[in-house]
Amino acid sequence: MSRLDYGFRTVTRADFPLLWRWLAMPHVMAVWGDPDEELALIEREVDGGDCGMYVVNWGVPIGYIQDWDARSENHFHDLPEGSRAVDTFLGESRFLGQGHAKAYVRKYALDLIAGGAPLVATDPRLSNPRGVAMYLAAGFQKSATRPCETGEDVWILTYPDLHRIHNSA
Amino acid sequence: MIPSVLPTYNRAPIAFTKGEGVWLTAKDGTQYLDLGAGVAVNSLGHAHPALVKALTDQARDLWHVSNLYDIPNQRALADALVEHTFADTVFFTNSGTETCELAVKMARKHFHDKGETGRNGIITFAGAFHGRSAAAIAAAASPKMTEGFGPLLPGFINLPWGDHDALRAAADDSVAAVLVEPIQGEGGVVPLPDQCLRGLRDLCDERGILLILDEVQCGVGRSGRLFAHEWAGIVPDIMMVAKGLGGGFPMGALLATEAAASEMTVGTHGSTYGGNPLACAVGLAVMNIVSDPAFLEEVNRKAGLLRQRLEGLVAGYPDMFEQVRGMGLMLGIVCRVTNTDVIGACYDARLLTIPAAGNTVRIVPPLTITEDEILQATERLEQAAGVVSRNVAA
Repeated sequence: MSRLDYGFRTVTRADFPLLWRWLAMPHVMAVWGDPDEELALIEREVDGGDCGMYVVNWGVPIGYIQDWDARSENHFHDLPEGSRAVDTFLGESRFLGQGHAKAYVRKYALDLIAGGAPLVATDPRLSNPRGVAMYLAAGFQKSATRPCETGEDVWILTYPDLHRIHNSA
Repeated sequence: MIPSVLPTYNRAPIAFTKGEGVWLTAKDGTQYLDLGAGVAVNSLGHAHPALVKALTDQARDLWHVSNLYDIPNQRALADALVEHTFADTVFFTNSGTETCELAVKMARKHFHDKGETGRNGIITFAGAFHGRSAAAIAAAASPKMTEGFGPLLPGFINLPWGDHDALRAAADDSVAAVLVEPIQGEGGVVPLPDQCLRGLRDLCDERGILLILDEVQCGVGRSGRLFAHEWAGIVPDIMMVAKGLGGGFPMGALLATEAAASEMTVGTHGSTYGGNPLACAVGLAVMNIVSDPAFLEEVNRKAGLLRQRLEGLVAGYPDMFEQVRGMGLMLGIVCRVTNTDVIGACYDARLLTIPAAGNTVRIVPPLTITEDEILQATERLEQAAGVVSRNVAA
């Protein structure tokens, strides 16, 4: 399979056991939190809602990615109307460290932009250098650091570069 | 004056007197967290109760009998390995190196007895490590291992890693086998991508060549599967196993299909100690634990956490580290600073890691390491990285 062969399949309730297993993996829990609470948040949106939720496939299911209206969160308040925020985890531990996340996140961001989003943003915590590095490798750019809703400082990373968008506006 | 122990190792000045789980205690009482596991040997940690019981129970009954007799433990362990793998038959040795010797002999004998006497070449790859015997160093072809030990055993064709054209050109009808590690260990913890392993299998099938996998270091659960090749969905014809199989008791096993092994008849190979009752009692206890899918799932869970923490370390010290590579609980941190400086700082942080080629710090903890111990280990690594970073800046 090539690096371009990532597919994004809409999450259904049938995926919940898989998602829970992934969310309970220690490498996911370290960044995402309690698996029951996270799955409950996914369940709230699965039957309709703004949040796009997908299983990432690379021949087999390897991870999860979601996007939502970025401006629904205070720390993204200055992004252009229609911007989408993304978050993801690579659930299958055996695929970690092979460059999958940066590759499929880039593809997903490009799909969102092709679908009309002016900008794609994400907000990894400063305490998560691995996550920051992955998004930067995917092509995101550092914009600012701010506290998020929990008070923790996060990087505002955007794709493409927020400053370029503002300067060309 | 030469030391009483032949000085072929550059030893750290630490002597351990006790081990339990992932912890080793030095003579002065200092405890070290062991991410080296005796170079991927202590698969279930130090002094695992099930292994201690298997060994001591057997020691009370019988230590050694010759392979001239039936050894029930040996048969039971062979049955377990056959049940859980591609193999139809198993020969037990005392080490990985010895399995390399037999693998080479088996491949050559296979074609000799079929009348293809000119088919005796063995393709190997740069960066490989298959042991320290005459055949194994000829296979690896590294000057560090071969210099001064010539003439080397002929018939090995050592190719650059990842050069598909060279491989296709070399794989002619003089070649009996391709010998490769699914994850190079000594070579710097370098995994062979699944598609390459599948491509190797296809090439071997197409050209009538045997595929020998060296899973001495990456096998027995270390990759998150019982054997690393399972991730690629292929099977070899012959496989070398050792290290983790004995959990610290010296043993190895050569696994083969009936087709590959059918020429190895009575008298063609032997071992005085291979498959002895003590080793096989321990090996069977290891297999009973490691072959459990729930155990392997736990390895994968913990491997993800360790990988994530190491990736975070690399991202946090980009001037010191280049990347993390490997899979499962067989990981390497490729350094920009000298790897032995990091390993030395780890000693000071009471953490044991081991070097590998390519300026790599190798991390191969017991598969029983807990999540809490992974967090402790990576905190100590971070502490060591901080020290090296400050020293470099000074």
